[in-house]
Amino acid sequence: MKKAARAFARRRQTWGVGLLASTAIVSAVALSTSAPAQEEGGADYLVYVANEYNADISVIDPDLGEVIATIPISGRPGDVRPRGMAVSPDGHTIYVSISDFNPEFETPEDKIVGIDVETNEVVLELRAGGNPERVAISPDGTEVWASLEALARGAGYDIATGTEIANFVVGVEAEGVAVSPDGRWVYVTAEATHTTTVWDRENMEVVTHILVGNRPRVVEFSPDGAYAYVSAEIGGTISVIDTSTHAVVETINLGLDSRPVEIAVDPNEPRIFVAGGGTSAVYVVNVETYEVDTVIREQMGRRPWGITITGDGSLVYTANGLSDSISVIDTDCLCVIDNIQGGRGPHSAQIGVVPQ
Amino acid sequence: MIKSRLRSSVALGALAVGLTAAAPQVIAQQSDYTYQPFFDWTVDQSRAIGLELAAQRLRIVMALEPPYDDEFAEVVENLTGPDWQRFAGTLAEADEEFAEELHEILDEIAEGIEDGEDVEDLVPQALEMLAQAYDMVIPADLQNDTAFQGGVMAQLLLGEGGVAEGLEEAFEEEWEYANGWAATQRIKVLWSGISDMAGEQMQADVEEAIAAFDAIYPSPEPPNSFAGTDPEEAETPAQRMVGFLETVVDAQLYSGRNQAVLIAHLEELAVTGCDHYEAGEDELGREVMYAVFDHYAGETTGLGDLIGLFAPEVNEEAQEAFESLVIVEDDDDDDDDDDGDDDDDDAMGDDDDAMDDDDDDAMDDDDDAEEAGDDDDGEGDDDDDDDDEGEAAMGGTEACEALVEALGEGRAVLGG
Repeated sequence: MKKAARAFARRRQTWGVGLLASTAIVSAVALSTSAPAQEEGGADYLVYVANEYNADISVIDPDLGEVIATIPISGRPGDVRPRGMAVSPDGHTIYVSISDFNPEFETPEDKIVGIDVETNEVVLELRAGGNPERVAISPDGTEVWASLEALARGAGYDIATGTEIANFVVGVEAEGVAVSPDGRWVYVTAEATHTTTVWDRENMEVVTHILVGNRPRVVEFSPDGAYAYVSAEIGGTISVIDTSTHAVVETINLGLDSRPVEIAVDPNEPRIFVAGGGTSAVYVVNVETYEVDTVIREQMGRRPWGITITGDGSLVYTANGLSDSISVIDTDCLCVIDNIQGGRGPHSAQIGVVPQ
Repeated sequence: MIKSRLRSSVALGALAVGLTAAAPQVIAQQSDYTYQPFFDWTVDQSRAIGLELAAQRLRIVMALEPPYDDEFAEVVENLTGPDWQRFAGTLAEADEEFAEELHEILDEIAEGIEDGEDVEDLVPQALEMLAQAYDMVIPADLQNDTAFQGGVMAQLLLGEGGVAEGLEEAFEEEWEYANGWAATQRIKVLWSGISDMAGEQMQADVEEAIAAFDAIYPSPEPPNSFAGTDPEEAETPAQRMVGFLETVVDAQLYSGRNQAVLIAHLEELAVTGCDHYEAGEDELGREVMYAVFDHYAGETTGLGDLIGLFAPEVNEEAQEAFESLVIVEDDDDDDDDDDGDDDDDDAMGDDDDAMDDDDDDAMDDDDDAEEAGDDDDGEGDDDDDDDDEGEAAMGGTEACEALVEALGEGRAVLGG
C-alpha cells in the first residue's frame, strides 16, 4: 500500500470530530467523510504547490508521487507570482495569494484566487491590493484574510461578495496571517518590524502588536487555539504566544543558523514541523518541552519554504524553492520518503480534498 | 579584543582593488556565535564600509567608459558625501594633510563625472589613497580579523549600496545597479580570503549564491529593462550567504536579533558621539552618528520601523535628529526630484550641501561645532528645498542630545 493511501486509511480510523482547528485539521475532518482512494480509483486528496517563478500551481497526486496538473494563474510568469496558500474548511477550495513584483502600485494582479479541487480550475478572484503575500480562511469558511505586504496592513474579505470587511495597520512588510480556530483572532506577522499584530475579529479592532523574533515569517495556531507559533527566520526562533493574553510565553531557540519559515502543526502530537528554508532542513519541535526533537536533513530538497501536513498527520510535504521539488516526510520515521519534481520556485504547499 | 584566529589572506586594506502598543516581550539574548562585530566594533565597521563603498564607486568608474550617465553621477556623489563622512574625522586625526588631499581628489572625480569629463586617470591614484586611508583608519588587527571581515561582507551583501539593495534600488534609480555589480566583485575577493574556513557543502552553497549574483549583475551597466525581474532577487541569495558567513566566521552578523539590546547599545554609542560634538569634534561625532543610524534605520534591523509602530512620536524625534546629523537618503524624495538636478533634498540638506560643508569644514572641526547638520546654504540657494528643509536643522550637540533622548525613550518602549 502506498504511503499516501495508508495515510488516508489511518486518518479514517483516528480522526475525531472535535478538533476543528488549523486548516490542515479542518481539511482532515472533511477528508474523513471521503471514500478511500483505492475504491474510487484516485487519490482522495491532492497536494497543491504554488510556484513563485512560473506563475502556476502544481497539482500532485500523492499516490502517484507526481504532478498531474498545472494550473496557470497568470500569463506573465516572472512578473506575477503566487505565494501563500490556504484551504477552505471543507478542503474543496484552495486559496492562493497573487501579486506582482512591483509593490509600489496596485495592479490587477494583486488578488486572491480560489481553485476548485474537483476541477482544478480557478473559480474565484478577489481583489486584494498591496501585494497580498499570504492568506488564511476563517473557520466558517466565509472570509479570507490576507497580509498586504506593500501596505503594511492586514485585510479581510467576504468570500461570497468579494467585499473588503476589514483593513488595518500591522507592522512593516506584512507576511504571515492566521485565523484562530475559534474565529476570534487574526494574527498577522511583519518581517521588518519583527511583530505580530492581533486583530479582534469580533470587535473589529487591533488589540496589540507583539514583538516576536527577528524577521517573523508565518504564524500558526495550535489545534485548541490556546497558542500561536511564530517563526523568526533571522532570529532562529519560534515564539509561543498565549492567545488568552496575546503575550509571548516561550521562545524556542532552533539555533541562529536554522532559518525557520513555514510551520505545520501536527494534529495528533504536541509538535510542529518547521521548514528550515536556507538550511535545507525540517525541524521537528516538541511544543510541550519546547525542544527540537529531530532535524531532518537527509534527502531533503533544497530551501524548503512551504510546509503542510496531511489530515491524519502521517505525511508532511515541503515546497523546496531551490531544488524545484516537493519532499515527502513520513512522520513516523521522521525521514524523507520521496522527492517529487515540481515547478519553478515552489513557495507554499496545501492539501486539497477531492470531493467523492 | 582581537582573537587568535587572525588571518592575513585578504586584508581589507587592499582597496587598490501609533497604535495600541502593549509592552512587548523581549526575547532572550542569543549567543550561538562567539563574536559580535556590530556590537564590538560598531563605528569601525561603519568606517570600513564607508571606505569600501568609496572604493566600490571608483571601481565602477574604472569599468565604465565616459561619457557617464547623469544618474550615475548621483551615485558617485556619495564619494564625498556619506562615504566620506563615515571615516573623515578619524582620517583627519591621523593625517590632516593626507585627508585633505584625498577629499580633494574624490571631489574632483565626483565633480568631473557630473560635468561629463573623463576622470579615469584620477581613479587609480584615488584608489591607492583610499587603501592607505584604510590602513590609517582601521587598525591592522581588525583588518585581519575574520569576524570583522564578516561584518564588512554582511554590509556589502545587505546594506545600502550592496548586492541586495543594488537591484532593489535600481528599480527607482537604475544606476544603483552598478553598486550591486561592484559589491558582487568585492564579495568574491573577500570570500576567497576566508572560504577555506568553510566546509565543502557550505563552500558550494556560497559559490551558488555568488553565481546567482553574477547572473543578476553580469556588468555594471543596468539592463535596458527590469521587467520581469524580482527586485528582491538578489536579496534571497544574499541573506542566505550572510547566514553561511555567520557560521564560517563564528559571528552574529545581524545586529537586530534583539531589538532591546540593540537600542540600548545605540543609546550608549550615541552618548559617545555627543561627547565628540561637545568637544567640538564634529567629524568624529558624525562618524558615530552614521554607525548609530545604520543600525537604527538599516534594512536588516528594522529598529526604526519597530519604534515607529509602537511609539511613532519617538521615531519621529529620532528621525528628525538624524536628519541634522547625517545625510539621510529619503526614498520619498525621488518622486519630487526626478530631474535629478539637485540631489536628495532631504531635511538634512542635499548631498552637495553637505559636501560643500565638507569642502569648508572637513578639516576644520572647530567650525563644525554649531552646524553639524545646519547647512549654511539651506536658507539661501535652494529655494525649492524649503519644504524639505522644513524647520531649521538642529546643531550637532542639540541634535545628538535629542537623539540620545529618543533612543532612551525607544529603549523604554522595548522594555530595555
